[in-house]
Amino acid sequence: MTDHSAIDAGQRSARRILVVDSALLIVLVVGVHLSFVATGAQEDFPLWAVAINWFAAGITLLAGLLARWVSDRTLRLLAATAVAAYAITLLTFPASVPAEGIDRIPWTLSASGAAAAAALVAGGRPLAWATVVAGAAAGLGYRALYGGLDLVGVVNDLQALLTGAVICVIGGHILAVGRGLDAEAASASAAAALESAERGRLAARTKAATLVHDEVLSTLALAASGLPLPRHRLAGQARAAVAAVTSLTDDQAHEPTVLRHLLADEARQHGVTFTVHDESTPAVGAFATTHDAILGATRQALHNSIRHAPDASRRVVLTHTDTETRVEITDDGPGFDPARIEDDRLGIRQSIIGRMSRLPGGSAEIEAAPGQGTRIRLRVEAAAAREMALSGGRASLRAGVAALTVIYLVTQTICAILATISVPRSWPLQVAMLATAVVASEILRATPGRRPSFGRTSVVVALAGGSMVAGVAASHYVYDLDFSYGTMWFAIGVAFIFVALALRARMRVALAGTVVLVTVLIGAGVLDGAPAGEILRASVRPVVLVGLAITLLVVVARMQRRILVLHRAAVTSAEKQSWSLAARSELTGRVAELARTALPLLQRIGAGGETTEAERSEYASCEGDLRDGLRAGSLARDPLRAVVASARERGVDVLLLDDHGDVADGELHPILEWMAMAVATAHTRVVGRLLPAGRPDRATLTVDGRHTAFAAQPAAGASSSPGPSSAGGTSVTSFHGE
Amino acid sequence: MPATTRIAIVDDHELVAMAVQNLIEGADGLEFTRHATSVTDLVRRMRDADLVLLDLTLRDGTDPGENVRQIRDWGADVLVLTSGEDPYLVRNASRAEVLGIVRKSTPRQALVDAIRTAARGELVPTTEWASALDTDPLLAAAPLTLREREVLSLYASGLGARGVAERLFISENTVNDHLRRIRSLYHRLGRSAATKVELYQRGIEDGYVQAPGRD
Repeated sequence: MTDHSAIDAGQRSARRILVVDSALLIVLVVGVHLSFVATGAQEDFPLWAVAINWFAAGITLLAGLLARWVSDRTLRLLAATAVAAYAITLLTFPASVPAEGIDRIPWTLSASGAAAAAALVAGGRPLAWATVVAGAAAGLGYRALYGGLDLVGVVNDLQALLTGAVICVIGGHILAVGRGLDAEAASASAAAALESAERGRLAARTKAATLVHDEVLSTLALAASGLPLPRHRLAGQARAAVAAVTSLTDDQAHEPTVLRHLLADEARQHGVTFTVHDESTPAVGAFATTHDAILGATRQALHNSIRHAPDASRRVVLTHTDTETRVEITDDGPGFDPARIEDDRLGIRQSIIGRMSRLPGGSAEIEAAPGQGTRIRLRVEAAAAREMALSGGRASLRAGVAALTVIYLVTQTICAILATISVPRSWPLQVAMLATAVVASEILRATPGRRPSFGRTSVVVALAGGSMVAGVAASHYVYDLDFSYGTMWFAIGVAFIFVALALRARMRVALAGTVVLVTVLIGAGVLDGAPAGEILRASVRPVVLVGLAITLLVVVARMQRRILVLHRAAVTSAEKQSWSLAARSELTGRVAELARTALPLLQRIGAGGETTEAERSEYASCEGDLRDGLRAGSLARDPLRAVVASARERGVDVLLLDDHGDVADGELHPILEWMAMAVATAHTRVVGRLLPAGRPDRATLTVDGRHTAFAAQPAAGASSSPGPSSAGGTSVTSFHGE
Repeated sequence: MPATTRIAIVDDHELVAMAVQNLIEGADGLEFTRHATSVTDLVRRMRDADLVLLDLTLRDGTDPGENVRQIRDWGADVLVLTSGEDPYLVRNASRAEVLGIVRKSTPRQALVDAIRTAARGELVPTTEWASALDTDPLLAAAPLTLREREVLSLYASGLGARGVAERLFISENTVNDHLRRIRSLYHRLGRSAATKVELYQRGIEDGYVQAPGRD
């Protein structure tokens, strides 16, 4: 339960915000309504109808007040009740109309904004849109039936529709962002859980492996020491070591491994060179199924290549980029014509192409031509699904904004037509107002990117503000129109332009513009001597429209920042997890090697027979080799490795230390050859060491007390043939220690 | 200090104890007293050893540094025995007050010499020990002189004290003085680096897994 509530936090807070918005809208509606009642401009409706109205308002207000404290379920229930009360108001309106009739229907009937916000909470976008449409339809319909189908009434209903639509689009966006936030939070916490589990497994496994390693090394060292130990005791310890190694390798048979180790193993089994190119961290989340498919396809490709081009040289290359994981299997064999062979080579069709294309984001392509070898390329796109999920919210917002634009153009056109009909001589004003609204919105629509440039913004603001001032002045001085909600229809049109600016990240401009707009509006009302109620009614809607939009957009921006933070956390966790997995996989490889090399020797010791001198050297050599796996790093490679093994069998104590950890292959090879040459002649003791970065020497070697150093190469221009004598800048100095 | 040094061993394997007993028996002035499989077992009794040979990785999963501290509190010197040379574990133990870190597979005579040196209470610097210190990022920031770093680096490349002395044209005693100072400085760092040790916790895990030398 607590888990669930934590996961849904984003959606819950989105709903709370909407409920509070709904309550604020109700406060405004009630305020404006009371201003009407005070002027006595309201008809007498039966008590039950008034009660339903007040109940709807009250429940919305209650939900808004309690939003912080009640459960999500209660909140949605309250919202649903408010929506239902609004619906009942609409449906029962005809019954409430007094027998003597009414002058005009109350304007509150079509004020669906608060109900739309509540509907978003209760039932999401479909219910909200239905509420808005129902409000506008009921308003216009009842006007036709009961009166009030005039400029003021229709403009009111249409602008209410527009306000409701804005709430549906931005509120719906908030819900979608809330959902995205929840999804991101869930994936972040899942990634963190996986990461910590993976770390735990790595730690446990490391500890187990360390102990087993220790056990094996101790046993081999004892067996090699030649000390007079009771043979049956040594055999007993060897058998215990065998059991420990076996149980460790059995345990790891079921472990997940990292692709590169799987592929390296596969390539080794087929005697094929394997290389890795890491251009980025391996794509996260690509585990078991992806690996199985890639591995299976690689195996099939190698089988095909070996079957059809037995003498060719083959290569497997694994590449990780930011966008994909790619495996290429190439050979320089005779090749073939893919178009001709596709049908009879079921192997390629099914096991390679089919297998890869069944993976999400997976594909396989084959490049082959007679005489030009074959290249099979397997790809898996990284995290394609995640990208789609992230852009999903944006796409729905774009669709909503498009719908909003259509509603805007339609309502404004109707308003202009109605205004022209009611005062025909004012047609040039109405057409000019509509034209500026259309032009300004078109300029914004055609803006590339989200945020319009300073120039574009200025043009839009000049158009909107200029048309507002010009419209008000013309209404008063030129056409002498009475100030009313109807004649001032274009104020909402201008306010909507500011909403569009706010949606396009120009919030301050939008806010300032609205202040100017309302000032001009109030100034015009006062100039015209309009009643205070009329002025209030005309100025509330633009304020609500822009204010609401800006508030909700600020909330959205905050939620999106939070999403980003969570997203980064999830990615970091997943990266750590894949690191742990890689480390564990490497460990697994090392244990497998331990089993391969040491197990036969331990079994022999466990049999309890007499140990010969040759066997003793063999144990010493194996013990040294295993130690090298721990400490010798890149020095544990041929040609040095073989020379060291034979030196150890001669009884030489060899210690190899890699204290650098990351020497490039090109630099390493001459060092290995240089060390191998000296180790071949060693008698008692050898210490070979790769020095940490930043020291004057690359490596040192002490053979029987004779110390030599391999100097760092001053310039990277050593393109000459390998070998210590010809490697540019290499100097070998020697001093006699003992 | 008694004429003979009493030696105990803490190791998971009785056989290792037997082997060590075997080695010691032939040496003058050394006496084998006891084998314990854990430090707790060892220190439970009255102190009956002057030098303890301690296995670096014990099956009970105890921390080498903590083990060393317990034995030091008990009143004995510590010489650490290792199977491998995981530098993180070696450093962890070296920061505590040990006389040295010796590999179990060290040739017989060298092992006896090391135990004998430790029995005299003297430092047993080994190549593995020097190399683990030489690459410790903690020591990279420590106030070591250039000469001391030089000595440590050469020592870590497998030269003995005499080899280092000849290489640097100084006396063998001076080399040993340098090593002693490095060791005591390292102990001081070890005491104050409790939180940094925690930082290395992860590194200890890595130590087995990753190529060493990365910090």
